[in-house]
Amino acid sequence: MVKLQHSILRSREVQTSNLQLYRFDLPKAGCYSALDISFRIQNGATSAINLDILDIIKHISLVVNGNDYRYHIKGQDLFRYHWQKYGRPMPYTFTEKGSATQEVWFRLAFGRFLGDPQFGLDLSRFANVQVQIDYDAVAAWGAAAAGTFTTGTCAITLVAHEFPRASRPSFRGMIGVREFWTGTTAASGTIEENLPTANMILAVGVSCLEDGVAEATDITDIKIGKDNYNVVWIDGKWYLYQDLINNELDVREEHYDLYVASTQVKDTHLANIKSAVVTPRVHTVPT
Amino acid sequence: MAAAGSMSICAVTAITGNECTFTGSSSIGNAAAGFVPATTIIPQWAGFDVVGDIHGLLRFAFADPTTFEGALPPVDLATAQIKLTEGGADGVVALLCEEVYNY
Repeated sequence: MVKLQHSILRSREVQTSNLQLYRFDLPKAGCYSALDISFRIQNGATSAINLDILDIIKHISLVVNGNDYRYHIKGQDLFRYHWQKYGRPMPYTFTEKGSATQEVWFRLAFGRFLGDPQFGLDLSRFANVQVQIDYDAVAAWGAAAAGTFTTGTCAITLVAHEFPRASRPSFRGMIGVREFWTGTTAASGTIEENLPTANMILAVGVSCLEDGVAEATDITDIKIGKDNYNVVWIDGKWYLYQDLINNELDVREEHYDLYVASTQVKDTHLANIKSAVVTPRVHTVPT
Repeated sequence: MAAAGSMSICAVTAITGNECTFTGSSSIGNAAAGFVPATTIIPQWAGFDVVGDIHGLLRFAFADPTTFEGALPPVDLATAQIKLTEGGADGVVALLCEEVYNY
Protein backbone atom coordinates (compact mmCIF):
# COMPACT_ATOMS: atom_id res chain seq x y z
CA MET A 1 0.00 0.00 0.00
CA VAL A 2 1.20 3.49 -0.82
CA LYS A 3 2.56 5.55 2.06
CA LEU A 4 0.35 8.62 2.37
CA GLN A 5 1.70 12.10 2.91
CA HIS A 6 0.47 14.48 5.59
CA SER A 7 -0.19 17.70 3.72
CA ILE A 8 -0.54 20.50 6.26
CA LEU A 9 -2.96 22.93 4.64
CA ARG A 10 -3.50 25.09 7.71
CA SER A 11 -1.77 24.91 11.07
CA ARG A 12 -3.62 26.38 14.03
CA GLU A 13 -4.74 29.31 11.92
CA VAL A 14 -6.11 31.78 14.45
CA GLN A 15 -9.45 33.37 13.58
CA THR A 16 -10.21 36.88 14.71
CA SER A 17 -13.94 36.17 14.63
CA ASN A 18 -15.72 34.22 17.35
CA LEU A 19 -18.41 33.18 14.87
CA GLN A 20 -18.27 32.77 11.12
CA LEU A 21 -18.63 30.46 8.18
CA TYR A 22 -14.98 29.61 7.62
CA ARG A 23 -14.21 28.66 4.02
CA PHE A 24 -11.05 27.13 2.62
CA ASP A 25 -10.62 26.20 -1.03
CA LEU A 26 -8.66 22.98 -1.43
CA PRO A 27 -5.98 22.76 -4.12
CA LYS A 28 -7.07 22.12 -7.70
CA ALA A 29 -5.30 18.78 -7.89
CA GLY A 30 -4.49 15.96 -5.53
CA CYS A 31 -5.90 12.67 -4.28
CA TYR A 32 -7.00 12.64 -0.65
CA SER A 33 -7.81 9.58 1.39
CA ALA A 34 -9.05 11.73 4.26
CA LEU A 35 -9.00 15.25 5.61
CA ASP A 36 -8.42 15.88 9.31
CA ILE A 37 -9.77 19.05 10.89
CA SER A 38 -8.85 20.42 14.29
CA PHE A 39 -10.74 23.17 16.07
CA ARG A 40 -9.30 24.92 19.13
CA ILE A 41 -10.53 27.60 21.50
CA GLN A 42 -9.04 29.08 24.65
CA ASN A 43 -11.14 29.10 27.82
CA GLY A 44 -11.80 32.29 29.74
CA ALA A 45 -9.37 33.33 32.45
CA THR A 46 -11.33 31.62 35.24
CA SER A 47 -12.93 28.49 33.80
CA ALA A 48 -15.34 27.10 31.22
CA ILE A 49 -17.68 25.00 33.31
CA ASN A 50 -19.82 22.48 31.44
CA LEU A 51 -19.20 24.21 28.10
CA ASP A 52 -18.77 21.76 25.25
CA ILE A 53 -16.46 22.67 22.36
CA LEU A 54 -18.55 20.42 20.11
CA ASP A 55 -21.53 22.74 20.57
CA ILE A 56 -19.55 25.51 18.89
CA ILE A 57 -19.26 23.58 15.60
CA LYS A 58 -22.62 24.10 13.93
CA HIS A 59 -21.61 22.26 10.77
CA ILE A 60 -18.57 20.90 9.01
CA SER A 61 -19.04 20.61 5.26
CA LEU A 62 -17.19 19.56 2.16
CA VAL A 63 -18.77 21.33 -0.79
CA VAL A 64 -17.90 20.51 -4.39
CA ASN A 65 -18.68 22.75 -7.35
CA GLY A 66 -20.32 25.33 -5.15
CA ASN A 67 -23.48 23.55 -4.01
CA ASP A 68 -22.92 19.80 -3.80
CA TYR A 69 -22.51 18.89 -0.12
CA ARG A 70 -20.56 15.64 0.19
CA TYR A 71 -20.09 16.15 3.93
CA HIS A 72 -22.51 18.25 5.96
CA ILE A 73 -22.80 17.33 9.62
CA LYS A 74 -22.85 18.97 13.04
CA GLY A 75 -19.77 18.80 15.26
CA GLN A 76 -21.63 16.79 17.91
CA ASP A 77 -22.73 14.26 15.32
CA LEU A 78 -19.43 14.00 13.43
CA PHE A 79 -17.50 13.33 16.64
CA ARG A 80 -19.91 10.56 17.61
CA TYR A 81 -20.31 9.15 14.09
CA HIS A 82 -16.58 8.70 13.63
CA TRP A 83 -16.31 7.11 17.06
CA GLN A 84 -19.08 4.63 16.31
CA LYS A 85 -17.79 3.76 12.83
CA TYR A 86 -14.12 3.34 13.72
CA GLY A 87 -14.45 2.22 17.34
CA ARG A 88 -12.51 5.09 18.87
CA PRO A 89 -12.86 8.85 19.03
CA MET A 90 -10.61 11.31 17.27
CA PRO A 91 -8.15 13.11 19.60
CA TYR A 92 -9.58 15.68 21.96
CA THR A 93 -8.78 17.89 24.93
CA PHE A 94 -11.86 18.64 27.00
CA THR A 95 -10.90 20.91 29.87
CA GLU A 96 -12.62 23.47 32.05
CA LYS A 97 -9.39 25.04 33.31
CA GLY A 98 -8.98 28.79 33.12
CA SER A 99 -7.04 29.95 30.04
CA ALA A 100 -6.54 26.35 28.93
CA THR A 101 -7.05 25.47 25.28
CA GLN A 102 -9.72 22.98 24.32
CA GLU A 103 -9.32 21.06 21.09
CA VAL A 104 -11.20 18.48 19.10
CA TRP A 105 -10.29 16.69 15.89
CA PHE A 106 -12.58 15.47 13.15
CA ARG A 107 -11.88 13.27 10.12
CA LEU A 108 -13.62 13.42 6.77
CA ALA A 109 -12.88 9.92 5.45
CA PHE A 110 -13.28 9.60 1.69
CA GLY A 111 -12.23 5.95 1.39
CA ARG A 112 -12.91 2.68 3.12
CA PHE A 113 -9.62 3.05 5.01
CA LEU A 114 -6.59 5.32 4.94
CA GLY A 115 -4.73 4.57 1.71
CA ASP A 116 -7.74 3.06 -0.08
CA PRO A 117 -6.74 3.09 -3.77
CA GLN A 118 -10.34 2.70 -5.01
CA PHE A 119 -12.28 5.32 -3.08
CA GLY A 120 -11.13 8.83 -2.21
CA LEU A 121 -11.37 12.51 -3.06
CA ASP A 122 -9.84 13.36 -6.44
CA LEU A 123 -9.65 17.14 -6.46
CA SER A 124 -9.04 17.31 -10.21
CA ARG A 125 -12.55 16.00 -10.85
CA PHE A 126 -14.16 19.21 -9.66
CA ALA A 127 -14.02 22.88 -10.54
CA ASN A 128 -13.88 23.74 -6.84
CA VAL A 129 -13.73 21.84 -3.56
CA GLN A 130 -14.26 23.85 -0.40
CA VAL A 131 -14.09 23.00 3.29
CA GLN A 132 -16.60 24.93 5.34
CA ILE A 133 -16.64 25.17 9.13
CA ASP A 134 -19.67 26.99 10.46
CA TYR A 135 -18.90 27.84 14.07
CA ASP A 136 -20.37 30.15 16.69
CA ALA A 137 -18.75 30.33 20.11
CA VAL A 138 -21.05 33.13 21.25
CA ALA A 139 -24.31 31.28 20.58
CA ALA A 140 -22.97 28.08 22.15
CA TRP A 141 -21.13 29.46 25.17
CA GLY A 142 -22.24 33.06 25.56
CA ALA A 143 -20.18 36.21 25.10
CA ALA A 144 -16.45 36.07 25.70
CA ALA A 145 -15.83 36.34 29.45
CA ALA A 146 -13.72 34.95 32.26
CA GLY A 147 -16.14 32.06 32.66
CA THR A 148 -16.57 31.25 28.96
CA PHE A 149 -13.85 31.82 26.36
CA THR A 150 -11.14 34.25 25.36
CA THR A 151 -12.09 36.29 22.33
CA GLY A 152 -10.21 35.77 19.09
CA THR A 153 -8.76 32.38 20.00
CA CYS A 154 -10.59 30.02 17.68
CA ALA A 155 -7.99 28.23 15.58
CA ILE A 156 -8.30 25.79 12.71
CA THR A 157 -5.96 23.11 11.41
CA LEU A 158 -6.45 21.20 8.15
CA VAL A 159 -4.34 18.14 7.37
CA ALA A 160 -4.86 16.06 4.23
CA HIS A 161 -3.92 12.39 4.04
CA GLU A 162 -2.74 12.59 0.46
CA PHE A 163 -1.40 10.15 -2.09
CA PRO A 164 2.05 11.13 -3.37
CA ARG A 165 2.00 12.91 -6.73
CA ALA A 166 3.85 10.02 -8.38
CA SER A 167 1.32 7.41 -7.32
CA ARG A 168 -2.08 9.00 -7.49
CA PRO A 169 -4.75 6.33 -7.90
CA SER A 170 -7.73 6.39 -10.21
CA PHE A 171 -10.60 6.42 -7.74
CA ARG A 172 -13.96 4.80 -8.57
CA GLY A 173 -15.76 7.10 -6.19
CA MET A 174 -15.72 8.79 -2.79
CA ILE A 175 -17.59 8.40 0.49
CA GLY A 176 -19.50 11.24 2.12
CA VAL A 177 -21.75 11.69 5.15
CA ARG A 178 -24.48 14.31 5.28
CA GLU A 179 -27.64 15.26 7.08
CA PHE A 180 -30.78 14.64 5.12
CA TRP A 181 -33.30 15.68 7.76
CA THR A 182 -33.24 17.57 11.05
CA GLY A 183 -35.95 18.32 13.56
CA THR A 184 -37.10 18.02 17.14
CA THR A 185 -39.03 15.21 18.77
CA ALA A 186 -42.51 15.54 20.21
CA ALA A 187 -43.81 13.79 23.29
CA SER A 188 -45.49 11.20 21.10
CA GLY A 189 -46.03 10.36 17.45
CA THR A 190 -43.72 9.34 14.63
CA ILE A 191 -41.16 10.91 12.36
CA GLU A 192 -41.16 9.38 8.90
CA GLU A 193 -38.82 10.41 6.11
CA ASN A 194 -37.74 9.12 2.72
CA LEU A 195 -34.13 8.06 2.37
CA PRO A 196 -32.06 9.92 -0.23
CA THR A 197 -32.20 8.13 -3.56
CA ALA A 198 -29.38 9.49 -5.71
CA ASN A 199 -26.45 7.44 -4.45
CA MET A 200 -25.68 4.06 -2.95
CA ILE A 201 -26.11 4.17 0.83
CA LEU A 202 -23.60 2.41 3.06
CA ALA A 203 -25.10 3.39 6.40
CA VAL A 204 -27.79 5.49 8.01
CA GLY A 205 -27.21 7.45 11.20
CA VAL A 206 -29.85 8.54 13.68
CA SER A 207 -28.82 11.26 16.10
CA CYS A 208 -31.10 12.31 18.94
CA LEU A 209 -29.44 14.55 21.49
CA GLU A 210 -30.84 15.96 24.70
CA ASP A 211 -28.70 16.48 27.77
CA GLY A 212 -29.87 14.94 31.01
CA VAL A 213 -32.40 12.60 29.46
CA ALA A 214 -32.09 8.82 29.51
CA GLU A 215 -31.34 7.06 26.26
CA ALA A 216 -34.27 5.66 24.30
CA THR A 217 -36.61 8.25 25.78
CA ASP A 218 -37.06 10.76 22.97
CA ILE A 219 -36.90 8.08 20.27
CA THR A 220 -38.01 4.65 21.35
CA ASP A 221 -38.13 2.65 18.12
CA ILE A 222 -36.46 2.76 14.71
CA LYS A 223 -37.67 1.15 11.51
CA ILE A 224 -36.02 1.29 8.08
CA GLY A 225 -37.46 -0.45 5.05
CA LYS A 226 -38.99 -0.04 1.63
CA ASP A 227 -42.25 -0.61 -0.22
CA ASN A 228 -44.36 0.56 2.73
CA TYR A 229 -42.19 -1.63 4.97
CA ASN A 230 -43.08 -4.80 3.13
CA VAL A 231 -39.31 -5.12 3.09
CA VAL A 232 -37.80 -4.30 6.48
CA TRP A 233 -34.06 -3.83 7.03
CA ILE A 234 -34.07 -2.43 10.58
CA ASP A 235 -36.86 -2.71 13.13
CA GLY A 236 -36.35 -2.51 16.87
CA LYS A 237 -35.87 -0.59 20.06
CA TRP A 238 -33.28 2.17 20.41
CA TYR A 239 -31.90 0.53 23.55
CA LEU A 240 -31.38 -2.82 21.85
CA TYR A 241 -29.51 -1.37 18.91
CA GLN A 242 -27.49 0.78 21.28
CA ASP A 243 -26.28 -2.32 23.09
CA LEU A 244 -25.49 -4.15 19.86
CA ILE A 245 -23.70 -1.27 18.16
CA ASN A 246 -21.70 -0.07 21.15
CA ASN A 247 -20.54 -3.60 21.84
CA GLU A 248 -18.26 -3.20 18.82
CA LEU A 249 -16.37 -0.22 20.26
CA ASP A 250 -12.70 -0.43 21.22
CA VAL A 251 -12.87 2.71 23.36
CA ARG A 252 -15.83 3.43 25.60
CA GLU A 253 -14.43 6.11 27.87
CA GLU A 254 -13.82 9.84 27.91
CA HIS A 255 -11.56 11.98 30.03
CA TYR A 256 -12.25 15.53 31.16
CA ASP A 257 -10.44 18.08 33.28
CA LEU A 258 -13.07 19.74 35.42
CA TYR A 259 -13.39 22.75 37.66
CA VAL A 260 -15.61 20.95 40.11
CA ALA A 261 -17.95 22.23 42.79
CA SER A 262 -20.83 20.67 44.69
CA THR A 263 -24.05 20.08 42.74
CA GLN A 264 -22.27 20.97 39.52
CA VAL A 265 -23.11 18.90 36.46
CA LYS A 266 -21.16 17.74 33.43
CA ASP A 267 -22.80 16.77 30.17
CA THR A 268 -20.67 14.08 28.56
CA HIS A 269 -20.75 12.35 25.16
CA LEU A 270 -21.56 9.03 26.79
CA ALA A 271 -24.74 7.58 28.24
CA ASN A 272 -25.79 4.30 29.85
CA ILE A 273 -22.88 5.17 32.09
CA LYS A 274 -21.21 2.21 33.78
CA SER A 275 -18.49 4.09 35.63
CA ALA A 276 -17.89 7.74 36.47
CA VAL A 277 -14.93 8.63 38.64
CA VAL A 278 -13.95 12.15 39.67
CA THR A 279 -10.63 12.78 41.33
CA PRO A 280 -9.91 16.16 42.94
CA ARG A 281 -6.43 17.36 42.15
CA VAL A 282 -5.93 19.78 45.02
CA HIS A 283 -4.52 18.51 48.27
CA THR A 284 -2.75 21.11 50.33
CA VAL A 285 -0.54 19.41 52.85
CA PRO A 286 -0.89 20.96 56.34
CA THR A 287 2.00 21.44 58.70
CA MET B 1 1.64 29.35 63.14
CA ALA B 2 0.77 26.16 61.38
CA ALA B 3 -0.14 26.42 57.72
CA ALA B 4 -3.69 25.53 56.81
CA GLY B 5 -4.35 22.65 54.56
CA SER B 6 -7.32 21.09 52.84
CA MET B 7 -8.37 17.66 51.81
CA SER B 8 -11.26 17.06 49.42
CA ILE B 9 -13.32 14.21 48.25
CA CYS B 10 -15.83 14.27 45.42
CA ALA B 11 -18.22 11.75 43.97
CA VAL B 12 -20.65 11.43 41.12
CA THR B 13 -23.89 11.16 43.02
CA ALA B 14 -26.40 11.26 40.20
CA ILE B 15 -26.38 10.20 36.56
CA THR B 16 -29.19 10.96 34.14
CA GLY B 17 -28.59 10.10 30.54
CA ASN B 18 -25.28 11.72 29.63
CA GLU B 19 -25.30 14.07 32.61
CA CYS B 20 -23.32 13.53 35.80
CA THR B 21 -23.86 15.49 39.02
CA PHE B 22 -21.02 15.94 41.49
CA THR B 23 -21.14 16.22 45.25
CA GLY B 24 -18.04 16.85 47.32
CA SER B 25 -16.71 18.17 50.57
CA SER B 26 -13.46 19.63 51.78
CA SER B 27 -11.90 19.37 55.22
CA ILE B 28 -9.96 22.47 56.16
CA GLY B 29 -7.51 22.90 59.00
CA ASN B 30 -4.03 21.96 60.11
CA ALA B 31 -2.22 19.20 61.85
CA ALA B 32 -2.17 20.96 65.22
CA ALA B 33 -5.77 22.08 65.39
CA GLY B 34 -7.29 19.29 63.39
CA PHE B 35 -9.53 19.39 60.36
CA VAL B 36 -13.04 20.68 60.20
CA PRO B 37 -15.22 19.19 57.50
CA ALA B 38 -17.16 21.60 55.33
CA THR B 39 -20.46 20.73 53.73
CA THR B 40 -19.31 21.61 50.23
CA ILE B 41 -16.16 21.16 48.26
CA ILE B 42 -13.80 24.04 47.64
CA PRO B 43 -14.14 24.55 43.87
CA GLN B 44 -11.06 22.96 42.38
CA TRP B 45 -9.54 21.10 39.48
CA ALA B 46 -10.40 17.47 39.11
CA GLY B 47 -9.90 14.68 36.65
CA PHE B 48 -13.04 12.95 35.45
CA ASP B 49 -13.25 9.63 33.65
CA VAL B 50 -16.50 8.24 32.40
CA VAL B 51 -17.32 4.92 30.72
CA GLY B 52 -20.49 4.09 28.82
CA ASP B 53 -22.16 3.93 25.42
CA ILE B 54 -21.96 6.72 22.86
CA HIS B 55 -24.68 9.17 23.72
CA GLY B 56 -27.53 9.83 21.35
CA LEU B 57 -26.33 8.40 18.05
CA LEU B 58 -26.80 5.08 16.31
CA ARG B 59 -25.11 4.14 13.03
CA PHE B 60 -26.83 1.39 11.08
CA ALA B 61 -24.32 -0.10 8.67
CA PHE B 62 -25.84 -1.85 5.69
CA ALA B 63 -22.65 -2.47 3.76
CA ASP B 64 -19.67 -4.65 4.42
CA PRO B 65 -16.93 -2.10 5.18
CA THR B 66 -14.54 -3.64 2.64
CA THR B 67 -16.65 -5.05 -0.18
CA PHE B 68 -19.71 -2.78 0.20
CA GLU B 69 -21.83 -5.92 -0.10
CA GLY B 70 -25.27 -5.18 1.32
CA ALA B 71 -25.21 -1.47 0.49
CA LEU B 72 -28.54 -0.02 -0.57
CA PRO B 73 -28.46 0.81 -4.29
CA PRO B 74 -30.61 3.60 -5.74
CA VAL B 75 -33.04 1.04 -7.18
CA ASP B 76 -33.87 -0.04 -3.63
CA LEU B 77 -34.05 3.51 -2.36
CA ALA B 78 -36.92 4.73 -4.52
CA THR B 79 -39.44 3.68 -1.88
CA ALA B 80 -37.13 3.46 1.14
CA GLN B 81 -38.18 5.15 4.35
CA ILE B 82 -37.17 5.54 7.95
CA LYS B 83 -39.68 5.76 10.78
CA LEU B 84 -38.88 6.90 14.32
CA THR B 85 -41.28 6.46 17.22
CA GLU B 86 -41.23 9.48 19.50
CA GLY B 87 -41.48 9.11 23.26
CA GLY B 88 -40.27 12.43 24.64
CA ALA B 89 -40.17 16.05 23.59
CA ASP B 90 -37.19 18.25 22.72
CA GLY B 91 -34.75 15.68 21.41
CA VAL B 92 -32.71 17.31 18.65
CA VAL B 93 -32.78 14.87 15.75
CA ALA B 94 -30.57 14.56 12.70
CA LEU B 95 -30.86 11.81 10.12
CA LEU B 96 -27.57 11.05 8.40
CA CYS B 97 -26.68 9.08 5.32
CA GLU B 98 -23.29 7.71 4.38
CA GLU B 99 -23.15 7.52 0.61
CA VAL B 100 -20.84 6.53 -2.22
CA TYR B 101 -20.48 9.13 -4.96
CA ASN B 102 -19.27 7.56 -8.18
CA TYR B 103 -16.85 9.44 -10.45
